[in-house]
Amino acid sequence: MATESQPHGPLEQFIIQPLVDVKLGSVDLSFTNSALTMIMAVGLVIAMLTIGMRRRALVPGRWQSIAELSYEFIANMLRENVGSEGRRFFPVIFSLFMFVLFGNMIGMLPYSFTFTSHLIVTFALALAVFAAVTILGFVRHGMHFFSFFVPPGTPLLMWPLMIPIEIISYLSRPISLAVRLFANMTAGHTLLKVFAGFIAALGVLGVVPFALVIALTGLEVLIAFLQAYIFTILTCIYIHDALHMH
Amino acid sequence: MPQLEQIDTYLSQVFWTALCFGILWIVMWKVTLPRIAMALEQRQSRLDDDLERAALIKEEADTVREGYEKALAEAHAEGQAAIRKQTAELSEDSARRHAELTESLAKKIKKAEANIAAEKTRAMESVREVAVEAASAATERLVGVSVDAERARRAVESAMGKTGSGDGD
Repeated sequence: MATESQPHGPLEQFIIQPLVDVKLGSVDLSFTNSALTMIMAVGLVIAMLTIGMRRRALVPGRWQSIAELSYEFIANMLRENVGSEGRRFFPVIFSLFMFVLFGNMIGMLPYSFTFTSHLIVTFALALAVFAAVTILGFVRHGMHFFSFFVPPGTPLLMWPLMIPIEIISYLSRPISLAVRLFANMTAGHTLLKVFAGFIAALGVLGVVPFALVIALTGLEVLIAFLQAYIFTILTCIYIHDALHMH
Repeated sequence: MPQLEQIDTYLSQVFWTALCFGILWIVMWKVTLPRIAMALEQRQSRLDDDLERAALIKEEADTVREGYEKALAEAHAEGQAAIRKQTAELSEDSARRHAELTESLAKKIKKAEANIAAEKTRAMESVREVAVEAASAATERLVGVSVDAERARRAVESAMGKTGSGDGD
């Protein structure tokens, strides 16, 4: 592996390590540290929300409150950004938020892995959202969906300019969605690791980077939540666009 | 950067992402979210029920209060009527008794007056007798003439008549 040459470098934490080799013919589907954290995230979400709702109490306990608050948080997001039509997309939006949130949060634990810091993962999610939203738009509006690329009220003279801009802007959606999450996670974790490296290197003065790491950890938790929120709310906005066109 | 270097892991990462997200989606969709929704719904309906029942009970309480107030007002009116009736009876009774008393007193006064008048007449009569006797006795002693009773009476009567009503002596 590439890490053996630079042990404990700030990027070492992003290395994918196969844990169980899985091969389908020539296709490598190995169970890796990334897959492990994904399963942990999914298991944690399911456990938390299912155990919380075990005794659907009239007055909710702590866990039930978390489950209900998450439910209402996403339900409100969907209602505000998509409207009542968005009810149909609630399960997928909720799962998306929880998947990204727990991926980010599990990454905050020492020695764990952040699967959302991998561009291919975020890009796969973003592309799936993009494809689903585009299909939704065409199913909903048919060929009329192409008028999405012409903002209403555009003078005919501007069409040759506006249409390419709108198409590029539309196609860059999955890229920006994927890169935003990936870059935030990667940058944050790299920064933490860089400062953590200074702690040992500076000896007694290492208190300063140590304090910084503590502060940055807090910031990273915030960013972990924020990026999950942004990823989800942008998905909601894209759904709204596909349903209502602008 | 491993994210861009380990291209050979891309397929596996996408596969596991799809699998895990798919599992999460299905479980959330079919199990977890309906349960949460049910709990929220149950709470909402329970709250609505409670509010409804509270409204019902309040209505009932209002009815009871109204009935109570009505009964109170009736009792009050009844009481007032009884007092008025009693007062009227009493005043009538007292007026009647007053009238009776007045009448009987008037009767007694009249009777007493009649008695007094009779007594007075009798007294006057006896005074006249005495005066006649005294006049005849005085005449006999002074003049030595015996006056007969008829003359003496006349003389006395005329003297008494001269002095007026004659009831002063």
